[in-house]
Amino acid sequence: MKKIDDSKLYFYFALTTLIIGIILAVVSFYSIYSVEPEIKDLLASAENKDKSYERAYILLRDPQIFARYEHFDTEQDLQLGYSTAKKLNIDSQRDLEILVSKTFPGTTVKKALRYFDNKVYYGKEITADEKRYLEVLLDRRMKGARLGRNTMIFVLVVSMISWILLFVEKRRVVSFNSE
Amino acid sequence: MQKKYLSVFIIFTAILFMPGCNKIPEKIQSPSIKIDLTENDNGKKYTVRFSGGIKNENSDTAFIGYKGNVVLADPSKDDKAVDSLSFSFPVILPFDSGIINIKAERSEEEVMQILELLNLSREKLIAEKSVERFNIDEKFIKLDTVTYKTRGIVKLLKDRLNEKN
Repeated sequence: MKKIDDSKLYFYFALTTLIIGIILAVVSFYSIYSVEPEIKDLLASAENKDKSYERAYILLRDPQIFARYEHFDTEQDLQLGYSTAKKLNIDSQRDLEILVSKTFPGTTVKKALRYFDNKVYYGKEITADEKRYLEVLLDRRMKGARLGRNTMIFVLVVSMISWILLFVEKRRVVSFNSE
Repeated sequence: MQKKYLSVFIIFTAILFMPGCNKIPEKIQSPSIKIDLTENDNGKKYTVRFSGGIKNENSDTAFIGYKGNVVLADPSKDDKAVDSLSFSFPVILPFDSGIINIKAERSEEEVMQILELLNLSREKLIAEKSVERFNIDEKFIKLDTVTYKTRGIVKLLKDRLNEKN
């Protein structure tokens, strides 16, 4: 009886996961080592702050693939609201709710995008006080890039296991057929 | 056989990318209407003031040159149009709303049709010279998109910055 040879299955699975891992690596490391440092430099720039913030916002407006702006985490909004409230020594729940929901430009990414889109489109200056909301967008991008990097590691481990299984399978097929 | 699998693959890929297509505004938010009657030597003048909003729900696409019509339609007569009011916006940015404020003059006959559709009092309009701002039920309002262009927000903002500099 001939042994069933699964080596093709292992090969294509290993190759596919390897390709996916490489794509994830390119996308994630481009953000981590190229885009994010540039944004940080622009936000930290002491000269021509207005223009630097505008350029930083344009970079942030083009989202990282794992941190796009279609879906929003309300938990992140609340946590940002809580941390801001703590800095301002706000204890009352009611005051906290007002801060989170009504204080402009608010603590949501969506509100920040709408606000800054209008500002940049109509040529208004982004002030130093508003820089922290650009940092919220940067934080979102950084989390997306790290998610991509961690997913890449997982996929490459799965690929590596598949390559090992491929070699083991080939050896089994050869030894079975030689008997 | 291979062509069949290829067509299935293409259809599946197209379905995957469909959520990425632009969302066009489909309805008017918070529609309301006010009708004023003024009388002078030239006769009666009826002014219809409509307000509402349309929302751009896309995250990265702006609408440029959006033109549309607010259609007051009768749902009991297969959405037959009773009146139509035009509006336009030069730009609606992502997540933003275009606020519609239309002021239009209408003849007595046209206004009476609107009053009948919305079940408003004709006598009150004649007596008080005005029908107060009234929130319109969604079933009487249709949004008719005439034309628009789309532009990616990143490119749009870059072009604006380049114009500014």
